[in-house]
Amino acid sequence: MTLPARRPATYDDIVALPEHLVGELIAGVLQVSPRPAGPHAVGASALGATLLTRMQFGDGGPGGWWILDEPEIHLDADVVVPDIAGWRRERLPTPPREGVFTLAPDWVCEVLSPSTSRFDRTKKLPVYARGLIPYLWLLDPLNETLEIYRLERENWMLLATHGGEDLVHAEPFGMVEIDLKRLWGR
Amino acid sequence: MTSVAPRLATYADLLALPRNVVGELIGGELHTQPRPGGPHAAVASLLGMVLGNPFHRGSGGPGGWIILDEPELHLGGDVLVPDLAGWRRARMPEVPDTAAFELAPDWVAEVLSPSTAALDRVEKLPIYAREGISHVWLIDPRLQTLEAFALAGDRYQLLGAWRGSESVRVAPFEALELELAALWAR
Repeated sequence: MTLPARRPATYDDIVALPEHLVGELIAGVLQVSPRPAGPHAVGASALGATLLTRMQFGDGGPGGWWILDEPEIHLDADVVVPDIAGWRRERLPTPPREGVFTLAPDWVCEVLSPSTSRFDRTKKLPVYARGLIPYLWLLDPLNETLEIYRLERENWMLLATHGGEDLVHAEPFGMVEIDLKRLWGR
Repeated sequence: MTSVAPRLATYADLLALPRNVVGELIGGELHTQPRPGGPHAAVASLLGMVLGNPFHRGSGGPGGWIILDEPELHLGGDVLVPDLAGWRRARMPEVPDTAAFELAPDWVAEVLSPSTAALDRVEKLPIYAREGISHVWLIDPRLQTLEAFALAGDRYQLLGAWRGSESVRVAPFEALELELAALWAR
């Protein structure tokens, strides 16, 4: 649901939202989404758990990253909440205490659902490009696809689209094998 | 629905399909779909109309293109049927007198439906890149979105994604101010 406010929305509007809603702010427009459910939650949780284990804890992988669910990220005047984001620890030694990130992540993943995918593709991708986030993944649990994008000169290059039961090695986590069927709950 | 043949399929399998089924051959696998349903057919037809006059007929636009519905493309052993395809007349001066096209188009549009979105993104997009098709549009009638890609080297760069009733100029048809709302009319 997009609320085209008569006045530009501000961060106060996000703070005023009830707990069960996620608020984002792009170009002064407040976007309110319900917390994810069903296939969206299965996909986000399974991917997050795989990357958390391998890339943050370093179990069966190299570690060296922070992998966080739904961090609130402030990029210039925009406020975005990707489903999962990752920071290299050399850039972010410790996550901020306040719970608001002003350092752009090194990777974001959006899990698409019928209610959010329009907003994700049309509004959030340009914000992430302007924020110079080097990698973006789009996980679509309903269509069972995973799109991998890399930022090149502020443009998103589609590196690959995986689907079905592929075993995926994708930048920037090429050392991790992701069994896609687990992301679809199979 | 996509069905996978147990042996390498050939063009004979495609010819043997009933007339109400669209067949494609990708990497030796036969993929079949029923002919498109309501919203899918409406968007494909409307886009053909919107682009046909200015670009194919040169009426109210620059002309210089051949734009066809559901052409059967024979590309490097694969047989693909995009919803729409366009050739610059500089490369294909007139429509050939054959059933299938062996010259790769300059632009294709795929209208996504729940049963085809994964095939379009995972299987067909890499073939379009391999064949050097310089522009691809993906249109989702349920979400009312248009995504546009341009080939950069051997990969697609995301030019952007737009939704709803935006007016946009999108390559390779940027001569036209495209009113997206026209595509969603029922």
